[in-house]
Amino acid sequence: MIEIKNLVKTYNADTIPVQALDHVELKIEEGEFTAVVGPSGCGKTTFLNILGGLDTPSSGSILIDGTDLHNRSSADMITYRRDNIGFVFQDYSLMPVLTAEENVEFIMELQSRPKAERAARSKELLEAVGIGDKGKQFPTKLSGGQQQRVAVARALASKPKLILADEPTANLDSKATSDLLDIMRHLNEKENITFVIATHDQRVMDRAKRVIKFDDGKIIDTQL
Amino acid sequence: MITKIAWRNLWRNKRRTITSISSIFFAVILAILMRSLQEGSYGQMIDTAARFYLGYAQVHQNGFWEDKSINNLMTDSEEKRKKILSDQNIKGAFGRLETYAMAATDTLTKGVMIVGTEPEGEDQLSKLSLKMTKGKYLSSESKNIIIGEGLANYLGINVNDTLALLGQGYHGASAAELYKIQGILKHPNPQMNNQVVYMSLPTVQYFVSATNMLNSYILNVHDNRLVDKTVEELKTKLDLDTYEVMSWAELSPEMVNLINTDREGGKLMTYILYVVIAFGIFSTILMMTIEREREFGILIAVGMVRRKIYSMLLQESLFIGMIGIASSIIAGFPILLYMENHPIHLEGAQGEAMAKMGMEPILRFTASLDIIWPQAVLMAVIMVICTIYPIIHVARLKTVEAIHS
Repeated sequence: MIEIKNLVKTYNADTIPVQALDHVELKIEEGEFTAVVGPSGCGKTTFLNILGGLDTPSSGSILIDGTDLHNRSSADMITYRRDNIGFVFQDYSLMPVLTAEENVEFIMELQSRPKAERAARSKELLEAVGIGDKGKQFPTKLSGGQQQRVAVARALASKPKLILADEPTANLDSKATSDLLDIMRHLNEKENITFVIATHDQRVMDRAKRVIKFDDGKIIDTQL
Repeated sequence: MITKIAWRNLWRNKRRTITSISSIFFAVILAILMRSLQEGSYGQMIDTAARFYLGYAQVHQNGFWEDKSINNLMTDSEEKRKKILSDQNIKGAFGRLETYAMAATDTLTKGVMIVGTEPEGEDQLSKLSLKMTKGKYLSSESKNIIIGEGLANYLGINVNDTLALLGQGYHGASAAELYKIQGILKHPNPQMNNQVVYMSLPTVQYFVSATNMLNSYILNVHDNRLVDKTVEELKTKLDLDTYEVMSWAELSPEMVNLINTDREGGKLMTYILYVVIAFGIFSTILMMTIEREREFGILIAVGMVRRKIYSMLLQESLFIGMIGIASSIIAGFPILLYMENHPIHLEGAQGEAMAKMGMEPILRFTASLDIIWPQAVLMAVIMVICTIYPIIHVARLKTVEAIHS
């Protein structure tokens, strides 16, 4: 379970302070499929960055299974992210010089997993996201929807408990969005992986189990 | 995987990578050629001096080199020769007795240097017999002389003509004799070419009234890079209170200074060339780093520790360096081999200027790995140095800012 306590993030504290997160309190249960929504600049991305350990809060804390996420050194945090959190970005952010299966294997390589295991899991994950036949393709040869599927497979490679997705459907057409959401929901239900998705996309909100609305750095509404 | 990514990253912008590799290629080729020409010239200077006159080392009566008097001679003996030849690096040793005299024809006179030598030993060192342009080379029994072409031209004399030599003999004796010219040679050292008179050792000993006396043993060696070691070993075998053993570098310190000064100047020029190239490479590597800031941010976000990114950057620059260096060696070494075997013969004013300085008017190159490997190491070091700032840049990268850059 993720427990967010009195989370505050203030940028430019020494000059003109901008409060990106204003005393956010939230609990996310294991296996949730949560959409974080709100207008641009409302604090969605900052929230995701802090939840993913990419950024640090000005005050407050995030407890994951009772342990303070940010009570780690920078190096430990990188390892923690590698082993426990998967990221999906709006623009896919795949390594352009690696094939689809190499992109998926890359995270496992960072974990020093055996080659055979990496290859088998990479194949399994690409098949799970519906592009098992595209493993040898470089990202530039794939459509946006296919690249985002590779990104999801990559995020799943390290068997994380939590996947954070920042506008994952923003660059996809309706069909690709629908297919991607099917895959994510399926993984969420089958593997009990927690998804937290920052989005503007109504289609994502429609498929989410819970929608959390942000405005001016505060949670203004939570819908189940 | 990191190595694979680094390698593939190089070819994301082929044109830029090829431009960087080309700049390294041309810099190293140019540096190799410059250094090869320099070292070839030094080799030529040393060869001219050592092989045609000084020898690679000499043994004298102690103090002779400071006071080259006709009275400062030593006795030739088999025992001394055996001691000298016992060193494995010594290929041969022969005696010389040199003196100065006035050469005269019926109309002209000129100061000359008389080199009394053992013709076979002299020929083994300097291949003088191949320099004969007229007549024949000396034999050990010969009582005739051979002279430099420049001297023959000046005096207007030819083979079979007679030359009068007048000088000072051993311990104040007068030395005067008529000698028949049996050959004319083109000495590679232009100064020698204009003033040298060669005769056999017994002939000169008779001329200066110094039977069985010498002023030098001239040593030829198998490996001229081991001369200093050979000299040191000889010093342990000979009585240093009576004899002095000197390498060519000690015999001609002014040449050593000239070579060292010129070598340092050449190296400085090479370093300047490399600094210019280094800035180009640095800007390429920095650009490759800055334009991938977001990518690095993503890599850090998904769990790649920074030291692996540093390793990737270092490998990328070393790949560029290695390809540039390897291609320059592959292309450069055959060029050096060709140039070593086909030196540039200078003609006209340049050739004359070199001749006036006492050197053969030839630009020699040398094809030695000792010239190539320092350039390769230097270039590799430059590549590493050029990667330091990009690594610092990545070390300072803020992940969130990089992802959203």
